[in-house]
Amino acid sequence: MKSNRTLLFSTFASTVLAVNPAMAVDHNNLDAGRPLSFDDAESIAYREQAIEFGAGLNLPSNRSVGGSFDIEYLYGFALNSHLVIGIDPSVGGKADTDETDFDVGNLSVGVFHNFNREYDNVPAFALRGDVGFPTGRDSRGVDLRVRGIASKTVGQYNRLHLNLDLNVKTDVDAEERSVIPGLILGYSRPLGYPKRFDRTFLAQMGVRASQDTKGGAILLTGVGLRQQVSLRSVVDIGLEGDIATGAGERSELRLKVGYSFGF
Amino acid sequence: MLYRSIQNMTLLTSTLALLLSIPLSPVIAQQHHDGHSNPQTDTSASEAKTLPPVPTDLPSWINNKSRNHIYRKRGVYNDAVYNLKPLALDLNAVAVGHALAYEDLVTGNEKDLETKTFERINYVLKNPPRFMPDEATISPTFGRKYGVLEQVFDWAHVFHAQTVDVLVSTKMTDAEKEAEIERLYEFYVKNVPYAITGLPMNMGYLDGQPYSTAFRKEYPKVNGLFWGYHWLQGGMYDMLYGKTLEEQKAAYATVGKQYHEVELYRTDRSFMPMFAEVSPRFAQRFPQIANTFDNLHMLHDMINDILASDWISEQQKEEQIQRAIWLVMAKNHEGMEAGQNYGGEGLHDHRFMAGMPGMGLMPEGTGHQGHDSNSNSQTSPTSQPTMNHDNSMPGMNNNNSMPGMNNNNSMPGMNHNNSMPNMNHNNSMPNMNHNNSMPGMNNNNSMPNMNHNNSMPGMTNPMPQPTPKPSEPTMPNPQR
Repeated sequence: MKSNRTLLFSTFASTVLAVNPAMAVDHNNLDAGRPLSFDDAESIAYREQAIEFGAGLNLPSNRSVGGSFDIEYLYGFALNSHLVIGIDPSVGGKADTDETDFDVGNLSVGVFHNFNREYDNVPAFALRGDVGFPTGRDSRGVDLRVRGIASKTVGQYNRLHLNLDLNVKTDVDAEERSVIPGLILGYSRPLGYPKRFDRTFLAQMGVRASQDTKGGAILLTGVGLRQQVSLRSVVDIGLEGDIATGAGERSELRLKVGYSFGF
Repeated sequence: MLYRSIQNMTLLTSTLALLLSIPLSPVIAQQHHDGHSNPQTDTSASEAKTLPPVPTDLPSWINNKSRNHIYRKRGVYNDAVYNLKPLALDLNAVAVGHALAYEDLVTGNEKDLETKTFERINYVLKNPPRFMPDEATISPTFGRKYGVLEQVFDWAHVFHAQTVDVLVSTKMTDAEKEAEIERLYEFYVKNVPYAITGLPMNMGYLDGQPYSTAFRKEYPKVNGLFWGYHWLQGGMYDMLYGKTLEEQKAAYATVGKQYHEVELYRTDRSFMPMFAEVSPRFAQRFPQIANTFDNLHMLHDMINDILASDWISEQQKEEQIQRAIWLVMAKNHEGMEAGQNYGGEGLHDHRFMAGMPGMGLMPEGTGHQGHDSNSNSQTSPTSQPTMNHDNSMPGMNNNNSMPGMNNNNSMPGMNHNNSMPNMNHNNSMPNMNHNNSMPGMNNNNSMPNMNHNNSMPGMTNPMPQPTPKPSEPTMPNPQR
């Protein structure tokens, strides 16, 4: 337990120190988790690499406060496509379990592909597929997620991002759903034009089915900000809320901060 | 209670943000005439003209709808321009300026270009952004309409930036820098099918289209800004080339002052600044790169002119922009060589005068007095204003300057005593534009046959010896 935490934090620290943080992704290129849950339809550049870190303070209703982390590595292995490898450790209170011990989380591997840029009145479309491996505490089975993404400009600088999710869990208990659909409508807009060009505001609203077969829908909300802080790095901050509408699941508030850089 | 309040606030904020975005009507200039087979002439207020036909054999990538972002070539030099921070910030501001103007041109705000747009750009020039912004997010409407053009510009701009990074890098020797600049050119040409040609294009032809000069006539102040950028973007190469960082910093103290106080606000140029004028040493050593950037800047001018021509319909603008892109593509000139005329209507005329590698034929009227009638005839129907020889700078010694030479913007402290020995005037610099000098040049060691009113500050080192032309890179395979 302690050795897992030590290993994780020392990996985090050595990665930050080893990689020149002078280069990073742009503030306007939106990846899930940085800081909200939706993606935009843009991939990173061919042959670009990026590392993204996140930390969150979780406030599940009627449970103790918890902390969550996520680390992702992205690589543009082909034109308009990138690979995503991530892990999401956590500790303390969580909405979906009574456990509070440190959990190294599930390792996930995903592929993102953008089909087209936005042109005329046609949105940019993308598809993302992720596989989650049961490396976390008490995890069983492989989790799959397919996400369809459409990004469209409305007005001059407002952008809407529709994410349609299909989550499939291959090993569930009797009272759990194996297929969980979800939808998020994200919004982004650069802030400060025409005097500053380094900041993006984000917001989201969404809904997904509860994992509990007896539970109702979970509403997702969130607001956030992405700020370019160096030539190639971005800091993000966000507030997300999961609002449980039925029995079986808990609402949760999450304050998230993150740091991304590309190289 | 606090928990629920925060949740409610989050829900309210995100709802408001989404709802407010929806009713905003698109600001896109909805002037498409899809489905029309457009006549070659229009009947708007401006004088109708006949547009050149669009080639029927354009490559498929010119209609691609992909993003196709490619990461820049990796190197220790990347972003080294920030070692010379004032220059880095000024280049960041240039990116914003271009994007703001293009966005206003395509969103029906062209009437504000010389007023509100100019003021917004000017603000950014005086308060440059810390980091290079993504032009696509500043001009999203422009990007949606002309995505392929944006690809052409972006890739050339990446190449532009990296060559400057190499020159400012403190981690490479001069020999390593020269070798890396050549590798960057190969990387630029080989990785995309839309690389701009490194041949010295016939500027008289390119700037002699039916729509040419529309932008500079209609929007002289904003055009002046663009040509001011090009003055800097061209001139900084000799300013940096072969210098230590301390020398570069000292040089930019003068060049930057000239840029901000004079060059940005000039509206009396007859033609855009050319690389061989403002960075003759770099142009001589890397003529293909100098030509590529000249052709890039000319493409910018052609696009400006097309967008500024109200007698051209939206459909025709899209077609003419595709044509303009194709005119300067390396693929379109495959197998051709600098210094040759391949006939036709003037496009494939890649001749240049002896002693001025890296600079092709120029439009009529941008030359010396008495040098206009020679065998290098131009195809430009557009007459240019005669050259102005006023306003020489104090301290300038013009004893041996070329007769008829335009010394506008000559450089403080410029020494012409040894200018241009062995200058060949027989076919030299027909229609040459000389009003783009760089400040502070000491020409005691100038190259023979060199155009010397474009000197660079701090230049006291012996001039580099002419080197064999770098080998032509293999043309890239079309990308998927």
